[in-house]
Amino acid sequence: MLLTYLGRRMVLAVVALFGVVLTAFLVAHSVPADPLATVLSEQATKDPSIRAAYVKRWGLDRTLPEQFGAYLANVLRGDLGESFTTRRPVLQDLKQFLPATVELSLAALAVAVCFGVPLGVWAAVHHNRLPDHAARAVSLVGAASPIFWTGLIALYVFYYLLEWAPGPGRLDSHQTMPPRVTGFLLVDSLAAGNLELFASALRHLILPALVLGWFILGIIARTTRSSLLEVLATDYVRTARAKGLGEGLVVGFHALRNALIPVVTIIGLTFAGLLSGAVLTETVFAWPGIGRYAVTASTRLDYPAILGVTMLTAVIYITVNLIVDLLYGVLDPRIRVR
Amino acid sequence: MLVTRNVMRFLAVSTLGLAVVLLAGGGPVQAQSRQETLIIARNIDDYVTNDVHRTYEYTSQILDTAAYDTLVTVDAPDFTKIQPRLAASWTVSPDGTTYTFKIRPGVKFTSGNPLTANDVRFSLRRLKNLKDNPSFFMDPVKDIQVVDDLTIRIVLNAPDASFLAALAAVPCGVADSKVVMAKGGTDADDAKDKDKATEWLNNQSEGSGPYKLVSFTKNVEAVLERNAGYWGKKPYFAKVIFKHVPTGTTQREMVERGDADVAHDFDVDIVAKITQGPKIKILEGLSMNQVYVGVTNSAEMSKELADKRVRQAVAYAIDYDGIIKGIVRGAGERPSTMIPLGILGGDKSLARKRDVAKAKQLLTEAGYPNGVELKLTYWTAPLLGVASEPLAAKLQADLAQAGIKVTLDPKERSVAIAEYRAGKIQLMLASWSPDYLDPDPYADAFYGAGPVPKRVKYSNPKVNDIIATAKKEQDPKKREALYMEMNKIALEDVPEIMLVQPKNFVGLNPAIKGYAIHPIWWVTVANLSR
Repeated sequence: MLLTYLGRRMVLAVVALFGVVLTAFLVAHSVPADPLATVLSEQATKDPSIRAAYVKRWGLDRTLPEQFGAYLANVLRGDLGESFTTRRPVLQDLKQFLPATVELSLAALAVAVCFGVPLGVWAAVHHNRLPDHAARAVSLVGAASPIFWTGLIALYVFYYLLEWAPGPGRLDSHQTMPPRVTGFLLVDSLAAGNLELFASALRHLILPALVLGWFILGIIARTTRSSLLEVLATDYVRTARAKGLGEGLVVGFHALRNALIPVVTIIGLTFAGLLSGAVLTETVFAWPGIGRYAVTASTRLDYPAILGVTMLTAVIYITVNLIVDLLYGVLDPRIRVR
Repeated sequence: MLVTRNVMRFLAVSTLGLAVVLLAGGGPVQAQSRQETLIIARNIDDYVTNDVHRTYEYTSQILDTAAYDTLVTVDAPDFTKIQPRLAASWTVSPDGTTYTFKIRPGVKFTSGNPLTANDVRFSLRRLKNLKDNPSFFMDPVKDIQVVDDLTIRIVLNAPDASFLAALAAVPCGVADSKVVMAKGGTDADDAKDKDKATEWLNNQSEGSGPYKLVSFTKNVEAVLERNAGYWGKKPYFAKVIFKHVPTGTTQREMVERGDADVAHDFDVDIVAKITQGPKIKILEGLSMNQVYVGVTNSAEMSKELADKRVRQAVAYAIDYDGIIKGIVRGAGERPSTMIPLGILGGDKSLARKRDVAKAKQLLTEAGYPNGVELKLTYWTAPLLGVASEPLAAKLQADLAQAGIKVTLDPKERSVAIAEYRAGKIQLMLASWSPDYLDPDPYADAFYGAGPVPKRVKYSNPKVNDIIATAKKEQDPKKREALYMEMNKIALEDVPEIMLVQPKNFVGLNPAIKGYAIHPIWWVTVANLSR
């Protein structure tokens, strides 16, 4: 049953991916700009043979349908093309930048969930009293502050003034990257047997994770609160209370589980959003992730890179949505896939 | 509250754990190695390639000039003086077309291979035949001959007084031909299709310079290590790490905290907030960059601007001093034309002063007593550190006072450049950075056969003659006089209007010695010490 369901989802995923890639391709090519303008130097434009060499190298002399067809054929072979600006396979670029983003996203998500869900529960239980107002303030301030501002202030206070936190980047500035195994620094530093590097990587993760986590914590806390409030007003909760169950058991066991379905959806979407890159956080903290790669690709009209990032983002959203849908079943047996 | 209590307990423990990790500093980090490590905080996302014969971006030029020797070089304090590097000496034939270089004996590449004239020939031919951004440096060259192991002869198509300055450019660096060929490199005519060595050269250097590039991670870091077998003076720093830090504000904090020794991306706004002291000092130097307005001469693009008097009126209407004072906070100069101050022909004496009455009079003479309407195109990203939006707004306000109504046309950079290159502009706010430090590339690029005159549809046979004569002229005095003559005509014709030659800023740990801002490759790292 599950397999049929997954199979159907995969087919839909392929259709969605095709649509996304086609749209991105058309939009990128409809920009009235010269993609080689930012790649070729002023002097190189004097010599038509240099331009011709570039045009040929990226197949820009072919018609749009031909280019799209060639691109799709390459994608099916696992080749996402070569970036104009980094001049290496887009797949290699994505492999380099994604792990940094995943590491930061997981850490930020951990912060947001670990603080956001309890905060939401606390607020719902103390509905319209001081804790609720306090939780609302924390959530709203986090979600309403521009992240580059929070990031700059956090660095200024904790790194520059108090000297508690390490500086920007994934490692201390005198340290250099360990040999690349997975791209996940926490893993690679251990693989290299370098505990000092591991500790440094962990310390460098904390501040950006807190800043990014705080930003998304609000939405998780607010969703938990409203969803839990709704569940707490239902009949079965009243029944549970009437049976004399302790408040902790009622909220923590009976109510929370049912209240978590919208929360899981929100967490999933937030995580997918984080994975497609947190440009501003990455910029402030000098974090070499996928977000900045995407922005550079689009400002330089780097077609292969734009399409690569678009496809990656689509795959992330499709996968995360699938996981969320499967999780529903775990939380609520009534909607389990059969 | 079973679940929440557990969660709370987990939170308390993990927060404590994190705090311990957070507060525990790096410990006594190898103090000695930090002493001998130079850390440069810099936005390195301009990176495209470290292959010395393809390099054109700033970051890779800093790395490659440390890793590869060129025959000659230019360095502080006088960037117009050609100094020997790999070449021990050279002679120029009386007709100015044949250069013969004696190569310093005993130079070895980091691979251990000896450097010979063959490597020089291979490198310059590879540069030419890759047909990439810097290939134009070899345009004047007709033939490269190996005379013996340590003598190389370069024959030019025609005499070229700017040739030695071009040879000092980073892409003319000499690479180890044996290793490069082993990695798939070639200098053959079809190198643009056949050469496969770039991927190798992106991650390590194969040169003979004071440093070796040992690793490069895009948007993360670049690491140079001292070349133990270097022929020249041993550099002070054993290791130089370039850390990718995109914002100047963060770079500043790193320098003040001692986590970086040098910060590269300071603009006037950051500099204005810094108090210099024992933690940080600011170094400034005039760049060879230009921010200017390109003015079309084509009636097809603007019937008004095709009239020289209207172009002059635009130039008279601009409040140049106000731009330097207000937009770049005084951190800039203004030469009279596109030839920058600091090289031959760079001049301030002829610079046009604002004269709104004169601008109005010129418009009336041209038949537009009620003024004209023009469009100013620009890209929204900064122009080599100068904010473009306020500059465009300032120009709009200035021109309005002379009766010239300007519509602003902001665009994404790639779109604006495409329009500019196609010549589809009336007024274009743009910037330029130097290829090499000689007046000829500037004269050619803005007034001769180069790219900009094509875009603004400017051509003056008399100017072309002057440029051609000056290029051949070996006597600097006579050459300078020729460029001054060109400057006068350029001011009259107005194919472009020079606005600012901005200053560059660098933030430094005050303990760092020997830093001089280089107008092309930022800094010669081998000159630095602590």
